[in-house]
Amino acid sequence: MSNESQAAIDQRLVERVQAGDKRAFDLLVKQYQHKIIGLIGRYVYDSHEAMDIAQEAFIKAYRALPGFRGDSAFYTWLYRIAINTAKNHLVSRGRRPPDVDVDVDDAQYLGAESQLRDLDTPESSLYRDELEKVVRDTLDRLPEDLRVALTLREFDGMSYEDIANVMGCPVGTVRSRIFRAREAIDREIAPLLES
Amino acid sequence: MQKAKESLSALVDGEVSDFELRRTVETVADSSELQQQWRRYQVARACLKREPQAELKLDLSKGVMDAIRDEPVYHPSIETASTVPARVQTRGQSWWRSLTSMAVAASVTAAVILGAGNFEDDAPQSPQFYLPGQAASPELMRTRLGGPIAPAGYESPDVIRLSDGLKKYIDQHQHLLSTQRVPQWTTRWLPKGYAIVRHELLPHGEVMVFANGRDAFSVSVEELGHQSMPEGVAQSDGYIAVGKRQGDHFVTVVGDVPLMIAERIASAVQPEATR
Repeated sequence: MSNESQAAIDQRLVERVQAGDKRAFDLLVKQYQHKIIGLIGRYVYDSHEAMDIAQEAFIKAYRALPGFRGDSAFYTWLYRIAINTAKNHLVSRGRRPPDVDVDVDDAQYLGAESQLRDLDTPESSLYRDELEKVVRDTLDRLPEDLRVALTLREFDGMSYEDIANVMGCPVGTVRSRIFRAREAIDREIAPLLES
Repeated sequence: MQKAKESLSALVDGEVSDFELRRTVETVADSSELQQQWRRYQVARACLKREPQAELKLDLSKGVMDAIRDEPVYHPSIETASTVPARVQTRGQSWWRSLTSMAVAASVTAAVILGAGNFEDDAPQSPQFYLPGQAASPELMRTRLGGPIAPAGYESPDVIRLSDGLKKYIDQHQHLLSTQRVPQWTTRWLPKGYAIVRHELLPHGEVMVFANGRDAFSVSVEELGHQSMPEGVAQSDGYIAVGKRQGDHFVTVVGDVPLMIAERIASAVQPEATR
């Protein structure tokens, strides 16, 4: 999915929060927590420390939400809050923040050559690789109609209506196929994530 | 639960109406299973795209939500459209928010019962509280909750003077607040591709809305004696309305569907307990 369409989806949840529904913020936290922890992990050594800072960043984001106008994508805005929180944390501990920040658009491409540290241990890296393999293998084994629907959505960022036109079926059928595809993947990863 | 999960999946893609978004957020808040399912959907999505993520087995959200539990709840401004859309509300004023929410809910429910035609088409942009019923009645005054002045030529004293005719709506409002009810009706048949997107409880019945992402129809089930149309068919502005009696209740199907489909839907409506 394109960043622009994800931003539009996030904005709807943000507007729910701004309209007084805190529960929508819970969905945003669950949506971005692992990315934010991973980002902060490039600034601090310890995973527990990274999680504490991530939690603090989300709390700051909630408090700052009334001033969020949607001029940037919510994740970009959250990203900056997380980085600033991490850097402030380092300064308060008498540690020097790195000279180079992680750009939100480049974060996914950072490799071992980055001067920023990484939370990844060999075990957690292996775990994540295994999870990715399970997700992709499950996708490959899906019935064609489910696989095509989910692929068009996740990798091509098409709307349900566009997918319906491509696949020659009603929008409701697209919605159902994508749901069933996600359910199939969820059945495989749930035991791994909850163990 | 399956319907809620499907709504959650659609929410991941942003393919939900504002109503379904609101209802899904409410449903998820009450279900730890759905909360974890949302989390896993995000993890799976990031795995598909090979996006970096860490500490996949952990969930920060409870700690975050506990920390913000005592934080102020935000609500949109009710002054003018040009003001800041959201502002921080102090905890002491949360009763005001509850009152305005219930007032808006009551007025919307009244519109469902009486029909949208009772409301003026040229209502101003900012939220206002309109009392339904006889606009010409000298006992009935229109008021506002912080909105701009009413249309030219109409003087609003910001005071409601009640008449006996309004007591029915007060009873209705109290009924909505006090009654613990669950949906009683459903339909055993739907056109292909349609799913329920809304289910509202009314004082004397229920209304369900079904949609397929493009078209929609609604089904009202009311106790006999409370319906506003006789048995039969009507057509207006491209919409079909079919009304028929079902035992002690009256079923009305309205939407942009063929007449035969509307009739079949009306015939398929049944109490939940008989499914």
